[in-house]
Amino acid sequence: MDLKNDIFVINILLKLSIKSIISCKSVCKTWLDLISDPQFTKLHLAQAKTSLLIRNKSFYLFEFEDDRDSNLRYCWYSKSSRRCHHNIKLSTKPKIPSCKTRVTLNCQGDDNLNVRLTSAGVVNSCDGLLCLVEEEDS
Amino acid sequence: MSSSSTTTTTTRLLMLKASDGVTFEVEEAVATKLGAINNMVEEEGSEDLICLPNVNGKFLGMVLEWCKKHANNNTNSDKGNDEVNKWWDKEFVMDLDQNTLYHLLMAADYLSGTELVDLLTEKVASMIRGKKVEEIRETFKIKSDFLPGQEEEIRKKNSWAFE
Repeated sequence: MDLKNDIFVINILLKLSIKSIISCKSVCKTWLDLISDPQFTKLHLAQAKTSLLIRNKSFYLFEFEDDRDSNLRYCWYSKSSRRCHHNIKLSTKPKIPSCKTRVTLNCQGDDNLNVRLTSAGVVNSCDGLLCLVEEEDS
Repeated sequence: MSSSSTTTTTTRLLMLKASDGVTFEVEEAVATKLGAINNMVEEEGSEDLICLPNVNGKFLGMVLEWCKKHANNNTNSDKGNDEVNKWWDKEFVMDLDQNTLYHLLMAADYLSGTELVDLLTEKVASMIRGKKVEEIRETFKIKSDFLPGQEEEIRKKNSWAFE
């Protein structure tokens, strides 16, 4: 199989998780160009499952496990390359207008995960990016 | 016009001829799972022999085997059908070597078997998942063509993805 110049490569790469896709960037130039193309990002966004990137001091990417059969578990990556498989519940209740939507992270039982954001309100969204505002603890 | 066919049901048979002359007799309902054949049947209507010069017998046979299973499973509208199809799909792709996988993918694409293309590309994706960059290159015989330093730069930028 010639996966370097193949017409199916885009379809195949689109099925991977964000983390896999990023590591695939360093396989060869052809793949790097394909993945770096904004069109690819759009295609991926259109069919990808929800993932969440949280930026604070370091950053965290939450995404579904890299396996079609285990949809219920998120894994997360931090800048320090640590990887965990804890069950993190993301609960969102989409509402219109979007500013009424709440994003809640439930990281119970996970001492390693130092995400301070537990509940946030959505300010707005664009191309899959959410602008969140953290709620004050009452 | 009187028809020579004695069947009262709609099980019309189509003859598919592969590039190497091998022919397959398939029920219309099975063959039309393939978009390309469906189009030909709709356009040409009465034609019972369909020539497929871009697929050889071996791979056409495999594609039709897949179609047959899915067509059969879909006729009885059981709820467990999805599960049966999934299980069967898994079996179907389990032991495919790269060469077969590739030719099958080409055949499925040519015949517009969208679901089958999806299944096969998913299989290839599963061969990439969890592998290190070097292992991916080895699996698919891809040579790195980066300039010196270029690869390191990409890795550095996204170090979290290269654990």
